[in-house]
Amino acid sequence: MSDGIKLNEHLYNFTTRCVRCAGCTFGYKNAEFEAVCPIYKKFNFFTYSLGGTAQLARALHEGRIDLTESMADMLYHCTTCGACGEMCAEVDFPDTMEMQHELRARCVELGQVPFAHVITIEGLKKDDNMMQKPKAERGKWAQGLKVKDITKEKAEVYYHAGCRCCFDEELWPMARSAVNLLKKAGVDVGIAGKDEVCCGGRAFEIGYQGEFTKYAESNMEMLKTAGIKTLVTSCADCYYAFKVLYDMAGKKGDLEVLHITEYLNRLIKEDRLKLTKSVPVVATYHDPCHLGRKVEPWIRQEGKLKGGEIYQPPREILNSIPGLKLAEMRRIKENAWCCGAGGGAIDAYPDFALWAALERIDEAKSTGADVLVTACPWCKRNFTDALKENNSTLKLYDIAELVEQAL
Amino acid sequence: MSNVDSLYDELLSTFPEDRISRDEAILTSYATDLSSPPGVATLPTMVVLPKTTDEVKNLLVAANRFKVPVVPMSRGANIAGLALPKKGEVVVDLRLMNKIIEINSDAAYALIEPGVTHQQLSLEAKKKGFINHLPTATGGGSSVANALMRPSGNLSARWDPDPVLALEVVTPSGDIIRTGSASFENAGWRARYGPFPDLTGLFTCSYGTLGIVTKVAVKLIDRGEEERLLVTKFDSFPPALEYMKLIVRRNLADSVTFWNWVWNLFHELMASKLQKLPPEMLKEDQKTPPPGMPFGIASARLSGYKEVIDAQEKTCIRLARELGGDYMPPQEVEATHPGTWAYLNSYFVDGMHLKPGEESTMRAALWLPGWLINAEPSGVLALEKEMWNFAKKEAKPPYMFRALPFNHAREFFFAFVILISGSLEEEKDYMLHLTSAYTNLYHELLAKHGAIMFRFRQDPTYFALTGPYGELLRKIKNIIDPNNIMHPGVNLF
Repeated sequence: MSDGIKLNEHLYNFTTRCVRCAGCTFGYKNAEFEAVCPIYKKFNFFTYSLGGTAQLARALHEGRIDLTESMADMLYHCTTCGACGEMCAEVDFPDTMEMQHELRARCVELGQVPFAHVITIEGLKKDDNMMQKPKAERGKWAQGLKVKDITKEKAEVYYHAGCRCCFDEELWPMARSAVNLLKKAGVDVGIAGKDEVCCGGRAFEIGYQGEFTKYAESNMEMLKTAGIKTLVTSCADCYYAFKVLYDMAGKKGDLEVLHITEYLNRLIKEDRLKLTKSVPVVATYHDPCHLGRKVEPWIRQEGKLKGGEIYQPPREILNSIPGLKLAEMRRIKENAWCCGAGGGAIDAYPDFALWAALERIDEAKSTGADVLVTACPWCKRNFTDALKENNSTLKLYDIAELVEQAL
Repeated sequence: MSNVDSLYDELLSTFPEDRISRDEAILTSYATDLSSPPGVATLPTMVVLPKTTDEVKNLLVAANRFKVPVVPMSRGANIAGLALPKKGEVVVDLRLMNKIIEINSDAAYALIEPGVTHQQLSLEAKKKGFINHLPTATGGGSSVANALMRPSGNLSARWDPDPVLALEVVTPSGDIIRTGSASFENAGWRARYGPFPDLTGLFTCSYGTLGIVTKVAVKLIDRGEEERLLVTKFDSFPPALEYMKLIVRRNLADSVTFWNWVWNLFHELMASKLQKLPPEMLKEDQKTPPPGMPFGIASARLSGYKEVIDAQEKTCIRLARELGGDYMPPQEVEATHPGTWAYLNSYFVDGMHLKPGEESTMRAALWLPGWLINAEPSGVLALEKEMWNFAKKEAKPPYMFRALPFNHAREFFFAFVILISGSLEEEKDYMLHLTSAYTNLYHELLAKHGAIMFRFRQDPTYFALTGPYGELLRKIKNIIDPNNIMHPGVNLF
């Protein structure tokens, strides 16, 4: 056996204190004992829970087993949604997903990475994006928007579109709506267009921590040069990266990081955006993991038990849209079921990602809603595919798109 | 082709591939639990996830034919190694058999499968006005497994220690046996035995060595119109013991538990966000509480009609005072012991496991090796003395104990727990030392005080002490499981 994987002390202690109750896989509060862990629900064996992963990590640390392709395959199925860390009272890591992130980093070191991720990272290294698209196409989403380019002129607020929004043409409307709304509210906003680069968050999540650091430094250098103090993004993954991962890596500095839902909510409350048109739909809201559970624990480390998560702003926005009725799903906020796209699962295991999304769509339909709303391009991509898959009549919107309809 | 290979091939015709595995990644997670020392583990040869009784039957018949041993695992929580495999064994993970088949409100029982968790059952029971017999067990743990091993919960004081009524079990020969009233068609699951011998009892505390239990009818307790927590305080253990005996024997409370001050501070720790043990918990003199803190408290659960509870509460308070103790009004407990108050109310009144975020992450820095026994009331004071001597000689502070009338007032459950902070690697030798000391202690306490191990700790010499009783059980085991495929590694037979 090799001694290739050594955990840090608190992670190893955690692995030895798991009682194998699988409590990490079930929700609480209003969704008590509903499934919240996609891989555990899909694959059934205890192994797929955080507790099971802990036993695996313990065996690797103790040198009882070597990391195999099969283990890496299991580890990479996890969508790193953070539900387990929320549910298990034993977890006390600054980064709820520290166990998974640590193991994935070791997988990268040992060359046990799903081929899809290898391709993605090669693309990132070549074109600065996670979509394997030419970097020259990065700014196409914003054509005709007449928005400032922060690499050429000063702006107060930087809107970071993120790789998914930049290169997935079906998702351009969500980024365009966001920028339109900011402009209508009189915000001095700018983008980086073709010079925008990946935040590095997804690279971190799939274990490429070196790439993450490179992009964190690159982004902060660009923002520093442009004099940007506030960053707004529609991408939940990017939000998590800038807000939490950059901070953990000591790269964030004083940058104010806001998700578009926080900023829009602020603008609506300040009456800078007036929602006057009726949007007569019954909508249900899907909480992206990267706006909720994955953000909260880091704030907890700063001395506040709760408060980092973005659960209320999107709901307040939806409730302020005339004519819109919000119908909640059972599994919301801390208990939210992951869309299935997270942690690279959408790239490496698209069938599994689709399965998770279909489960969420069924839950959304059960509320009687005719519209599913989310606030993350990865969720939206995955739900779009799932809706096509089951020929659903459920309509899907990013929250900014709905707000724009109400202006 | 080995027997395990043959079994695997055969099972592939019964089980879909996603419910049977020989993959090392899957097997590894079934090799260790909270009790496993660093570096010590044995991988099972296979893990199987049955969903139905018929699947369990097919599995056992095949395993029996190929003489491959199996280890049933209800689901967790696993803290004592009772569901860990030994070399060559197949783990039968029952977590997908997780249906609450019936909650019989009229007869106050639930018919459940082994994968049903305490929290799952408690939630459903609560909806119908009942409390799970096992309110203090871990929310993610299996109600069936705990019920079969005698419950760690506390409603055993008034209503009796055994929540099991009838059950369904599959033996290695493939027989599906229903016991008690369930042995008759359409008679329900309401009775454990009669008019014939108690076959249900044979499968309790058998730890999967006689068959795989696939359904159990467990008793539920009516919550009544009102539920209440009554806390009294005492400056030493003897008057508290008298108090507990009296109020349970005279049916003044559903249950009552005495917690020494260290345990109460542990409750505070659980509810706080403290990252280190408070210094008072580490002080050398563990017999003397910090100033202003009682030596211990007795928490009693009362339920029923308000008028009756009012009278019961009044009487309990009078009895406590006559014995030198005193009443702690809820406001006082909440002010002085907020964590204890939250914990006791959650488990003993609400009957629900604490929720994520309500328990401290401090748990992640602690080990809690425990010494759990049952004894007649007359032996409990001697046990307390023995425990202090043991602690002084063998352990480092903090250590904590609790006691409660278990089987009405005929016996007491006595738990002595040593709290260890620090990493497992650092404390490995100390842990192993305590484990060894515990083994000897169980024998000593039986010899000196008639105190019995609460749950089997895989010590075959302990079973050997039972004489003809054990011999008869061995004969029964040989009839039911002649190839000894049922959990041989647990060392019961």
